[in-house]
Amino acid sequence: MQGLIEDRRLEKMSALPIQFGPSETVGSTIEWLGRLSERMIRAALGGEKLAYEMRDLAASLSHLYGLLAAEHDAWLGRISSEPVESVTLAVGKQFEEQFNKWHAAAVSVIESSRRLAGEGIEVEGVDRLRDLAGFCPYVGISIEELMRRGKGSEKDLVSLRKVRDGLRRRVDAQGR
Amino acid sequence: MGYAVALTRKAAEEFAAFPFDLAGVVDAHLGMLGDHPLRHGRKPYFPFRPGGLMSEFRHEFEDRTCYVRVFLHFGAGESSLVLTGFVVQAMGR
Repeated sequence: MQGLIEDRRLEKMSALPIQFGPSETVGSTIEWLGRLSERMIRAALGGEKLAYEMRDLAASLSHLYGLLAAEHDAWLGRISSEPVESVTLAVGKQFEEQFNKWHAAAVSVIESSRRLAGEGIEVEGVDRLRDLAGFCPYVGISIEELMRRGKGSEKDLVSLRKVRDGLRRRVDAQGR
Repeated sequence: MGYAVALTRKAAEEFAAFPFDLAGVVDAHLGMLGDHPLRHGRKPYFPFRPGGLMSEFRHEFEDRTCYVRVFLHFGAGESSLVLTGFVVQAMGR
């Protein structure tokens, strides 16, 4: 009986249009961690105490990135047979918003950790967080712009040699 | 170099706007891509446009880490590479 109910539920789910987006749980946790990191920074904690908090925040944010990326991948899996142009932008915008909120929280932790590094205190886990933030999609560039990327005109190509010549001239001009 | 490398006008303008140190590193990476595009490139994933290749690398400078994505595809006759753009993020260290 249970199996039958599950089967019907699955049937219903597979009939749903592709609208999976970031879950509320992940979204609200990102917001909460963002607020928490701001509060920590405002609390003007110093030294080891702040390093301890930042280490925990870095670990939580890294974990959360994995969850958000998994939701993003699950959504991609559902839309992979569709051409990019037909992807539901509304759902993509939700991911854009969540990745940007996550990035803002990560950057505040990275910056606090950098200040601590200046005092000679290393925050564990912040290097991994920096790498995740560095390649975080949708940051500083909207989903629409990202989807347009790579469509550049190929009628007017510039050889790498010319580009290198330009770079050399810039270096020479700088040296003068 | 295995493949002749060319940039779209837009990609060349983006390259020209890079700071010197980053331009040097990207230039070296483009040289490697020209030699072994499949070794250093991968299939782009959403939200990047499908088709062609994407190459990702990071470089540590003294004061920052740069995260670079290069977009490219094979040109006509598969004997050249066309670079269509970059996405760069710099993070303080």
